[in-house]
Amino acid sequence: MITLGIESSCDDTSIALVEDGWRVRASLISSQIEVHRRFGGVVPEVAARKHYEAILPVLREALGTAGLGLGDLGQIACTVGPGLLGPLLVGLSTAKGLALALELPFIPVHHLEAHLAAAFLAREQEPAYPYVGLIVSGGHATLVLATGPRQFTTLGRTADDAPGELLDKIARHLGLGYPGGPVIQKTGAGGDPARYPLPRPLAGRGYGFSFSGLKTAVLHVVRDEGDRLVLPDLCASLQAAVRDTLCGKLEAALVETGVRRAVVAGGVAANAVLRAGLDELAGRRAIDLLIPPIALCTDNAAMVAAQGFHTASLSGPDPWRANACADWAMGDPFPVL
Amino acid sequence: MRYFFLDASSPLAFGQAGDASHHQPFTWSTQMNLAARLPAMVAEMQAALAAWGALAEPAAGAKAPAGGGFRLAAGDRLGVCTGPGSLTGLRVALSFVRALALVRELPVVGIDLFTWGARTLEARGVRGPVRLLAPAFLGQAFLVDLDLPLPSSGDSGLGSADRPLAGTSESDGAPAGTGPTGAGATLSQHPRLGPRAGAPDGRPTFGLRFAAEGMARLDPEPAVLHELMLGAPAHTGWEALLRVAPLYVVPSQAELKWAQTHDHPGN
Repeated sequence: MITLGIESSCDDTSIALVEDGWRVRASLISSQIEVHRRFGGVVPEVAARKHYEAILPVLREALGTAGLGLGDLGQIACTVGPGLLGPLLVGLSTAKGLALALELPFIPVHHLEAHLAAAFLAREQEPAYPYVGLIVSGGHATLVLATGPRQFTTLGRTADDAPGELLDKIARHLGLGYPGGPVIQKTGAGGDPARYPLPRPLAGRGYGFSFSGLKTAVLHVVRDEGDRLVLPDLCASLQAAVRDTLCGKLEAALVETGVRRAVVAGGVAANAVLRAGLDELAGRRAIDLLIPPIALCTDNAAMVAAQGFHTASLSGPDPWRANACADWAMGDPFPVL
Repeated sequence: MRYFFLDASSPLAFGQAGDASHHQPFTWSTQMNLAARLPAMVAEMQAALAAWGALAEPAAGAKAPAGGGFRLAAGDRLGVCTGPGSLTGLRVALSFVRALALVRELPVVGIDLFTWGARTLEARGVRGPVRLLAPAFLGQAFLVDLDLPLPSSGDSGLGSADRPLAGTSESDGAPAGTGPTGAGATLSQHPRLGPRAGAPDGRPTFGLRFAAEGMARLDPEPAVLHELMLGAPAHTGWEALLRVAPLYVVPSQAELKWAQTHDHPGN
C-alpha cells in the first residue's frame, strides 16, 4: 500500500511516497527558507503563494523518484493542522482533488502527531506505546503522554515563544541570519556554555515552558557586555539553557509517569547540543530514546504519510469534511468548520 | 463535452455544470469552510449532469466511490476563476481543480472576472470604452479600462491555461507588484488598483458583483460563461496546469515593507 503524504503547514512544500507505513520510496521538500530569509521569518501569504507554485512540480518529481504513477497510490494523507491557514489550504485542496479523482481514501493528519511518528518511521517500526513525546520547533514546545494511536495527554506546552522562535529572534538580533537554530549552533561551536549564566525557565515547576524570559536575559547580556561580548560563548550558553530546560521537563515527565520510552521530534530536535543532552539523559535513565535523523526532524511529508498509514482507521466517518485548522489539538477529531 | 466551473473569488462561491446543450449555475455560501465542502460541491454539480442525462446512473448496488467520486473523463473539461478576489479562496479552488485535472488528464480553463464581465456586456450589445471594477481590500477596487468588443482571440482571456500570469514568475519572493505580469491577453491593459468610483473620463463604469456611486452593478452571466467554457482552447498535462494561476498577486505587508526599505519598489 503506497501512501501519498502532503505537508504544507509552514514554509516547506513536501511530498512523500511511503510503502506500508515505513518504507520511504520518495520524500522531497521544496524549501522556502531563501524566500523568507529577507523577512526574518515566515510570511504566511508569501508561503501560500510558494506552496501553490511548488506543489505540483514536487509531486511530479516525487513520483519520478519513486518510479511510481498516480495509479499506484493507495491512499492520500495530508496535514490539515496545526499550522498557517493559507499554506495548509493549498495542500489540503490539492490532496482532496487527487483523492477524489483517484477514488482513494483521504486521511487528515495532525502535524505534531506526524512529527512524533517520524521517530518510529526512522526505525522502520510501528509506533509503540506508551511514550512521553517532546515536540520542539519554531512554533511548538509541547510535552505529551502518548498512550495509543491518536491518544495523547498534554502535559505541558509553551506559554509564549517556542524554542525555534526564540533562536530565530536571538539570531536576528545578533545579525546571524535565518533560520536561527543552525546559525546559532554553528556560531556556538567550541564556545564556553558556562560563560554567561542564563536562566532555565520554570525549572522544577511543572511541565510548562516559557522562553520569552530567556530571550530577554540574552538581550540583557548583549546590552551589558557591549564590545566585550563573546558571541560563540553566548550562543553556547543559550543552547545549554535550552537543552537543560527541555531535558529537565522531559526527565521529570518520565520519572512521574514511569514510562520508559521517549520520543523527541521537531526542527529543534536537529540541534546537536540538545541531541547530546538527550543522549546523556537516555543513558543515565536507561530509557529507549527515539529521535528522528535530522532529515526527518524538520517538516516533511514522509512523517505525514506514515502517520496517515497508522491512523487511517481513525479518520472518522467522513474525513472529506475535514478543514484546515491553525490550532487543532492533538488527539482531537479532525476540524470541521 | 461536459464541464464543471468553480469560482471561489468571494465568500459566496459560484459553480456551474454544463454540457453542449445545458448549463446550471450554483452558489454556495462557503465563508471559511470552502475546502471542507469541495467534494460536496462536486457532488451537486454531478447531480445536475445526471439530471439531464449527461452522466449515467451508477449501477444498482455499486459501492459509492471515495468522497462521492468524480465522474468527468476524457473529452470533458474543468474551469476555474482566476480572480481577482480572495487569494485564499482562489488558491483553494485552483489547487483542487488542478488536482482533479491532473488525475483525469482534463484541460483546465482559467477565466478571469474581467473577461467574463466584458463578454457579458458584449452579449448585451455594449460597445466602446468601459471601465470594470472588482472589489479589493481597504475600500479599493481592481480595475481595467476596455474597448468593447474585446479582440476575438479564440481564447477566454486572462488566466487561461496557456497564458502564464502573475504568481508564476516572481519566484524569488520579491513583491509581485500590483498587477499581473503575464503576457498576452484579450484585455487592452493590465488590471490595477484604484478607487471604487466611476471613471474620471466619463466612460461607463461597471462594478462586478457590486455597485457604488458612479457605476452600475454587473453580474457576469452563466450563459456567457457557458460559451467561454465551450469555446476555450483545451490543453492538458503538467505544463499546462502549472500555468494556471491567480490573475492578480497582492503583495503582503512584509513584502511592501521590505521593498520600501530596500528601495526596490515593484521588484
